[in-house]
Amino acid sequence: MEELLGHMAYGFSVALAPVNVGYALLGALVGTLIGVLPGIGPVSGIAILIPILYGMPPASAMILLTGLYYGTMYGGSTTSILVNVPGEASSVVTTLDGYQMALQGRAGPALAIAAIGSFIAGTVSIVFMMLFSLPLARLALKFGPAEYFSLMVLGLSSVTSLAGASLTKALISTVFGLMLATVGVDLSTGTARYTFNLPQLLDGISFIVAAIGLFAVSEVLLAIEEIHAGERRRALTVGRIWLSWREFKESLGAILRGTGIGFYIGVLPAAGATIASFMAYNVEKRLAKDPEAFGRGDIRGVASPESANNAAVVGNMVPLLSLGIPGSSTTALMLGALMMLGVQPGPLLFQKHPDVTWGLIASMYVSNTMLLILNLPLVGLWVRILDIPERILYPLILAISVIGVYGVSNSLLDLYLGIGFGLVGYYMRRHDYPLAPAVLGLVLGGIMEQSLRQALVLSDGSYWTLMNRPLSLVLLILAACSLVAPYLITAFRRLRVVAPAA
Amino acid sequence: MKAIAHDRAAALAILAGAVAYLVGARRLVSPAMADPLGPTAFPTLLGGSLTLLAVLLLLFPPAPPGGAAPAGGKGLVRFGRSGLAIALLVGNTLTMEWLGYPLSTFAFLLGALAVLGEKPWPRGLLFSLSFTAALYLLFGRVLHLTLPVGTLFGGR
Repeated sequence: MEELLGHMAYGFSVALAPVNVGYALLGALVGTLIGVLPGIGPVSGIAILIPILYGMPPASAMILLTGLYYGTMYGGSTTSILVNVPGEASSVVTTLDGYQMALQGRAGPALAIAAIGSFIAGTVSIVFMMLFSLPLARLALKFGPAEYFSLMVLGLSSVTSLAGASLTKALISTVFGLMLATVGVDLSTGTARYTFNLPQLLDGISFIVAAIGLFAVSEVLLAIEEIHAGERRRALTVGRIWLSWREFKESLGAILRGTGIGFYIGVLPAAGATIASFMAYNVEKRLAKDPEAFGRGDIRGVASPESANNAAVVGNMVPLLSLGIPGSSTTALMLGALMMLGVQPGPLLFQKHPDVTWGLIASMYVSNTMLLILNLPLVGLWVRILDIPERILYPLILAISVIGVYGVSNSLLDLYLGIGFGLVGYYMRRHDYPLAPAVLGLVLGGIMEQSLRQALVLSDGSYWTLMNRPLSLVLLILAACSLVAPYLITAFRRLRVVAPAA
Repeated sequence: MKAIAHDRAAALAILAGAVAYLVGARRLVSPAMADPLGPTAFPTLLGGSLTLLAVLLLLFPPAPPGGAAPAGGKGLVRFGRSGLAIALLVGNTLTMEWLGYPLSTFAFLLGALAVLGEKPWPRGLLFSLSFTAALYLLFGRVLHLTLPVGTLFGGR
């Protein structure tokens, strides 16, 4: 323990150097901006910053990138809550309750709990990271392809079971998302699938294009229709800006559970913040005495995924720093940046470059505090977005969506796809097909298929490998339970109501 | 009743999509490699699942929730203004590389503001100009995204 405290003291001496505080602040600001803008994720943000990393000390470069990564998670929830447009994949689930809260004039408390939950989750996760980094990284290595496939199945079944009124429609939405993930070159064999001979589709359909189309464009189409039909949906007033003590107490359990789930899922390479946020939301809904409140503007539905995605960012750092294994595309870029600066990540990193590792861990505390200080006053400013008349706000959302899609890929085909997804999203919303499972299917489909194929290669084509491995079996049982549980609980409740009457 | 009939019609369309997807999967060339599944198995599994789900939706359409969506002709009439917004988006996409980002975005914003009921003159014009300038500065200059200059003006 004394040794750990010594390391942390050294880390803070690195992180609190004025130049590094400046880099952390720059990363936090740019990250928040990138998180708020739909279409530009942390990967693009880091790619934008890479040219300025040349010649920087490795510790400073990592502090800048980590601040940016954190900032995107803080900012990603803002548009999810205010205008039902997720800034990041990991903020998709926040739209379910966050936007409902905004419609009820409670955007302020929703934004505040997202910032406070992110802060608590980040802070607690860093403690977890300091204490359990190596054992957790070793445990993550026990996850083979079969376990990953089962984990993806659990993630998808979780979101399918909690989205929408009809399970059939939720499953159709999930399968639609998985189908979208099969577009492009098959990584194992090089076969082009469903590309219609269009070279732009060889890389597959980008999450950004699908999310902006399904969420942003469809939201605007519905809004235009309802404004002209005289059916206003948006809050007429901004409402309360600040969180009440009761709301905070109500959310605290969700924040802590989201932190635990998010951190652990984040440690697993490839699982990442998106699946963590969905899992945390699902667990929270299952544990609630009033699960029907979720999806109707329940503050726990914002607190839990927003805590989970921030905790997952810290969890992502565990395999990167301990083993040199990037757990996500963002940490893969960070790994590349480290190597570019002459630092070889891996088990010896803590000994060879203590300034990078301990400085980075200490800077997470610094960035976290900065982001809270930055984001809480911003709540009042962001909520003012709701004061902008709809006839001005919605064209602006469309213009930002266009630039978000085109600016990242420079492909007109992506713009047409985005418009197509907008129409599909409009139809799905009109007819009660939930959007979140489709987006999650697209995000997880590729990893899911690759994991299944790797598992079958290792088992000589035997599907029993999914059942033979205890961890994989447990995950599959949980997946089946999460699909069936809501119906069993409803049936059980009906029986309890009928029994006394009888 | 309308919602149920609509769901049944949608189920038939989904079924047709699932069959087309399955046909696409069968046409994929599977190279002989040490991969038990190959590129066709996962799409076949998905296509099969969607076929099954479409049949389920056809046979057992869910009861419409409280806020049932308007269907048929009424829905199409309601979509009129939204359709204009889609037309503007398509127009913007068609002209972006030719006119360049600033000009096509300005035209798009002017049209979209009008569709939503903003007076084109002078406020619509002012908003379109200021939003276009702000977006171009933020994305093009600060975030260094590549935005088309427009072939009309000799750019790329």
